[in-house]
Amino acid sequence: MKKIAVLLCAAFMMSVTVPVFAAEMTKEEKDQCLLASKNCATEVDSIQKKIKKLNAEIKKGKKVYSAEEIKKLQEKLDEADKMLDNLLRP
Amino acid sequence: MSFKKKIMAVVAVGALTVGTAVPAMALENEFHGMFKFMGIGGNFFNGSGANLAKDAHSGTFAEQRARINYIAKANDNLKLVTHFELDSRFGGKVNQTGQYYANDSGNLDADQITLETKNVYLDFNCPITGTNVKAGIQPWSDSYKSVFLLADMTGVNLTKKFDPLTVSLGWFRFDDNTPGSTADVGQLTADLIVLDGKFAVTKDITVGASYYNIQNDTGSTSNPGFELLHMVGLNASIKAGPATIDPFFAYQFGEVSATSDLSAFLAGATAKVKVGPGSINAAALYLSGDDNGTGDADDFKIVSVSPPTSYFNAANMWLLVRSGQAINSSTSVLGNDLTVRGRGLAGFFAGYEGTMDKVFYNANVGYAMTAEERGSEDSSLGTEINAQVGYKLFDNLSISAAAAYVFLGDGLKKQSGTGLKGISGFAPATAAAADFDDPYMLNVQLAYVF
Repeated sequence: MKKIAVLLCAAFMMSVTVPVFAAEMTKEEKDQCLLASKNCATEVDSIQKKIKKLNAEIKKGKKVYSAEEIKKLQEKLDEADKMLDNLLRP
Repeated sequence: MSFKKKIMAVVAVGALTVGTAVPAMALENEFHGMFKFMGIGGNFFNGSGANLAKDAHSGTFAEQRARINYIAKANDNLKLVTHFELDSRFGGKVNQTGQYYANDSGNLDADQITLETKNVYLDFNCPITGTNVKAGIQPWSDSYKSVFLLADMTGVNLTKKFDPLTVSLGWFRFDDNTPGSTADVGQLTADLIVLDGKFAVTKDITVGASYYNIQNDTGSTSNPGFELLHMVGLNASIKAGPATIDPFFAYQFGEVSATSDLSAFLAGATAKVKVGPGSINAAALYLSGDDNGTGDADDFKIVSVSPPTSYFNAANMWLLVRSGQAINSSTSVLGNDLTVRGRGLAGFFAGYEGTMDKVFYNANVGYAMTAEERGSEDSSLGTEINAQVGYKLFDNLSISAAAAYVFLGDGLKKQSGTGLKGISGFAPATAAAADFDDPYMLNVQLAYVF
C-alpha cells in the first residue's frame, strides 16, 4: 500500500510538470511548427501582438483583474509602446 | 524500506522534478526588431544630407535598416535591454578618401563591419524603494515632442510612482571623450540633469512639469552651443471626446558664453481628432529666434545638430521637417536644424490619416518660416504637400509609397548676402547658384516590425 502511495505521489509530481511538453502534439498530429512555423514551443509574441494582447486584457477590466493588476498591465502596455517607438524612430 | 525513508524518497523525487522543470522559466528571452527597405527618387537627398541646388539633378537610390532588440528578462523586475542597428546603402558608401564607412555593408560581397550599438542598459525595480532604475546606454526623450532632445545616451534614470504622480530623476553624460593626453577622464564633460514629473489629474488629463540642466564643461560651445542651460517647462495631454490635444511650453535661460546670456522659449501643440474613418492631425511649433546673432541670445537651443538629436515627428513632413519614417537618409531642407541657426522657427502642419481594411493612407500640408528675420533675409522657408498610401501584406509587414514636394520660400530659394533675401548658410551663396529648385521626393517602403 505504502509502495503504491509513493509511486502515485511521484507520478503526480511528474504529471504536473510534463504537460507543457506533452501537449505540443501527438503521434497523429502534423508538426505545425516544422510545417508552418506555428504553435512552436519557443514561439514568442511580436511587439504588435504583445500590444494587442495587453489592450485586450486591460479591456476586460475589473470583472477579471484587480485595480493593481490593471495598473501593472497598463505599465507593461506603456513600456511596449515606448519600445515600439524606439524601434521605429529615425 | 522504512516509512521515513520512503517519505525522503518522495521528497527527493519531488525536488528533482521541480528542479528540472523550473530553469526553463527562469529567464525570458524577448526578441523584437524591425527591417525597413526604402527606395528613394527625387532631386533632394544625396545619400548623406540635403542637396538643395539650382538645376538639381534627379536620381534614385535604395537603402535599408535593421534593428535588433534583445531583452534578457530574469523576472518582471529585472532585465537587460540591448538594441543594435545595421544600416546599408545599396551599392555601398565610401568616405572622401575611398574608405568604406564602418556602418555600411552595401558594397560588392558585403562583409563590412556594420553592427552599431543603440542601447545596452540594465532595467530593474528596486525591491526596497520600488524605484525603477535604468543604468547604461539608453534612449531618452524630452517632454516637448523631442524638439529639444531625443537621443541614446549613457546615464542613470530613476523613476518612482507616487500615484497619481510619477517623477523621474536622471543624469546623463553625453560628452567625456577628450584624449587622455589633453585632460584626464571626467574633466572636460557635458552632463544633462533631468527632473521630470507627470501628474494624472483624471484618466483623460495628464499635466507635466520639468527641469532640465546642461552643464557644458568641454571647453567648446560648438556642440552644444552653450556653456550652461536651464530649461523649465509645462506640458499636458488632454483627451476630450474624439480629440487628443497636447500643449507644451518651455523657457530656457543660462549662459551661451562668458559674455552672452540666454533667454529663449519654445511653445507648441499637437492635436489628433477622430473624423470619419481616420483622424485629422494638426500641429504648431514656435521656437524663439535671435534677430542678430550677437550679444545676448534669444534663440531656443537644441542640444545638437550633428549628430541630429532634434525631432518634431508630429509635423508629418518628409522634406520641410525631418520625417519620423526616414531611416539612413534622415534630413530636411534645414539640415535637421529646426532652429535655422538661431533664427527660430514658426511651423504649422495639418493632415488626415486613415485606414480601409489593409490599406492605410495619409496626406499632409505644412508651412514653416523663421521666427526672426536677420537684415534683409526673408522669413519664408516653404510649404510642403505630401501623401502616402500603403498596404499591409501581413500583420507585421507593410508596403507603401509616398510623394512629397516643397514650394521653397524666398528665404531658401533666393541668393543670400547683404541686402538679399536668402538666408545665409541655407540659401544659394552666389547669383550663379540661385534660384534653388523646389525639392521633391518619391519613395517606396517595405517595413517589417516584430
